[in-house]
Amino acid sequence: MPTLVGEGVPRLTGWGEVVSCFSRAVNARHSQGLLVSFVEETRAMTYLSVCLPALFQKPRHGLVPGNQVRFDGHRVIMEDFVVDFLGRPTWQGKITLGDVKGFCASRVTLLKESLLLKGRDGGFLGLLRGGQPNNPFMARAMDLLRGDRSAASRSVRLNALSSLVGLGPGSTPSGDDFVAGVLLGEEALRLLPSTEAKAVADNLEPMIPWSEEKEDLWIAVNRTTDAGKTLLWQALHGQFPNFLIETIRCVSAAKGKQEIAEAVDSAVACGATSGTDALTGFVFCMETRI
Amino acid sequence: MKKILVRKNAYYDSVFLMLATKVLKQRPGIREAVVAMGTEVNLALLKEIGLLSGEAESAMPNDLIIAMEAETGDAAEEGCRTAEEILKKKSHGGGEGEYRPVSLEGALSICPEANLVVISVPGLYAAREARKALNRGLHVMIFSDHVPVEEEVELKEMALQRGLLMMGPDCGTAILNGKPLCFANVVRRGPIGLVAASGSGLQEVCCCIDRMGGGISQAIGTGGRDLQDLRVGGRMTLMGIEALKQDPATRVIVVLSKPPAEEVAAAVLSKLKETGKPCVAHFLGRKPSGDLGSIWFSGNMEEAAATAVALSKGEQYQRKRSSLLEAEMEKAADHEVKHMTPEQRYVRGIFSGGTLATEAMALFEEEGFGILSNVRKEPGRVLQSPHRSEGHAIVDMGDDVFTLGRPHPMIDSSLREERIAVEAADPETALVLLDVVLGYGAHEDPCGALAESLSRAKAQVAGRGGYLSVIASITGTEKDFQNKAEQKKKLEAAGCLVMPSNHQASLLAVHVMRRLGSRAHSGLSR
Repeated sequence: MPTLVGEGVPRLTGWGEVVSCFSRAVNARHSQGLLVSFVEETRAMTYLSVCLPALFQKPRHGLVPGNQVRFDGHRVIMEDFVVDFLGRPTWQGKITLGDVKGFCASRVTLLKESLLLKGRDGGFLGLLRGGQPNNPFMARAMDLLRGDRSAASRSVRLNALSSLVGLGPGSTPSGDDFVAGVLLGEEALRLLPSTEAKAVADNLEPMIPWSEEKEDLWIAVNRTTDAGKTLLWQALHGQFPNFLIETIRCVSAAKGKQEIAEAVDSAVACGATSGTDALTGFVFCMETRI
Repeated sequence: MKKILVRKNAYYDSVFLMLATKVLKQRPGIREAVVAMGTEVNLALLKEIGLLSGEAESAMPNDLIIAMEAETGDAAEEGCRTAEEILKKKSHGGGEGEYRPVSLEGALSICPEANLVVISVPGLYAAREARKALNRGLHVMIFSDHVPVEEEVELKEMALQRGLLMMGPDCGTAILNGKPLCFANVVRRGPIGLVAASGSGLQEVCCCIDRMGGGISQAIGTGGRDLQDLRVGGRMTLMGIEALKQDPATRVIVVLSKPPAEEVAAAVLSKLKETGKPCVAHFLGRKPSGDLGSIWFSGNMEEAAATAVALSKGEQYQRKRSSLLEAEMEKAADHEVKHMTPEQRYVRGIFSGGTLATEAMALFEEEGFGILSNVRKEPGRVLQSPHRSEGHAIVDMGDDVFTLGRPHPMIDSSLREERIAVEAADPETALVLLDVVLGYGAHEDPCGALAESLSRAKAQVAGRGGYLSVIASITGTEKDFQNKAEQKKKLEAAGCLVMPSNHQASLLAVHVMRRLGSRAHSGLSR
């Protein structure tokens, strides 16, 4: 039985297919093109995940890519497995004011320092370093974002970010992780109380306006991989992976540099560069706005 | 020559895709390799850089594209074969078929008889996992660092109450009942039991004991703070000594640590006395202060090993330097300085083991050389930047500043290789002093990896009309999978002098530097 159910999963109905089986996750593609993940640990939770440790215990589940999956609201059927969600605790994937209330410019600086030290190269970390040789994706991202920080026009800024969707290495392209990080930053700023930081932020136009202009990003999500689409679809709804929320919560509440470094350490361990790229996007956004 | 492969609807994880890129880029003759998903923007970029054609142009976002540019047609074909092999291996379940538990509960479900847990997770989570293990009655070894000292104290108290070992945090080496844990070497079993607050130090002493014909009963790591921090108060060292006292297979006890807090040292010595067994104590950087009944103090790690081996055979260790060795060192040192330029005057230590670096520094200081380092705390002895040597310098490249987000230099020598090049480019560098650590967990061919950089460095200095002296020691045994003898040959082929221990390598380096003493005088202070 699941120990935690992402709130988005019981809203899905129809058919899907197992597309990948890893040691800690089984991913099923719903007919809408969104990936639903069955994961072993709560840390890997998203709005579209189900934490199902029993699936990963011996004997092995036996699921293989190509297996059909039936999404039936509060029940999912995969081969011999019937997973019932009724009465199970649910997980929203939203951040709250409590998660971000400690954020200020100095914490963003410490977060950036730690990220530069500990982040994994290969994705978009170079955006904070000012470049990275032999990474054509990074060079393209830099070109696209050049001038973004100072661009007066909302549409110019939004367009630059939309252009990053689908760009970069990885099954979730680095650009998608980066944009999800930017969206997390925007959400954090939206929630911040009336502090100095908030006051500053209030006087700035948000990087991604909460208006019809966000349509550009909604359209862009259809140009990326299923994994990227799923991440961005959730982020556009204000829902983020648990590991990112945990990291932001730790940084916000950290008593010192060390705790921030440890939170970053933990986040960059997610995926190849996914954790690094998402935090890069978050720092990029916060630095620009705070 | 370009080659492009497309895999339709490929759901690989990002870590795999990144590794595939790395493997392909390392293939001989491959100029560029890109492994990416066929999203619109990726396709546009690949087209712009000339790495897109044919079928790949119509790829969809969930299609995997592997694009390569090779120097020759053969290299391209070989690259394609490599890519196909990687993908085939993955689709046949390479690395994923076997159940790899990611939680303590999962691990115990497949190995319920386990009685020890090694914890290597980010420091933030390590204590939580350790508590779970201790509550289940399991011994614990925490490899992770960055665990707050308050949590270390709490965990060690918990362990003591339950009669369990709590090795660490930051404990990298142990050998329990002949089973090596984390970084450890294959050594002979025997009557010498060790408790150490130092990973590379424990490895060095175990390997010296093995070389001298002795054997190990148990090697218990405690984590670096156990003896140095009063709050921890040597809790695990004292427990380890008690365990060795009770262990009938242990006839001699060795305790090894960086300088401990005075009160803690007193408690440790008192506990050693209580055991009634012959004991050897080595506190790095502290000179032997005369033996104390059944406790022998040693001046370096090799001497600690020699003393323990002698005691295990019922003999007494004679604390004397071999005159033959001294004469050989003098001769070698004369040879090393013969072709150096007048500018060459500084020693540059590039270490992977913290304790090995500390031992080398202590010897140089004892001989009157002022050493700057990234791991020293005394005013005037700290390198302004760990990334740039000045004067006589010894750098511990296993320090956090070099390892955050990167593998430890015992696993990946690339940072040390870069540093060797940097030191060689400095016309004032006379001598490079190195350690190499073999064994489980370490690089599969560390000397092979370093030898190429050392040869290049020597050639660079020779090109300026000078001579770069390189002195090294190898912590390991012939039984380690890397094979010490084979590793030694590789360093020697690169022109390095390889000594049997870290102490002897440092001593030879001191001999060489003494000959350059007058040149280096200005480097002694800052």
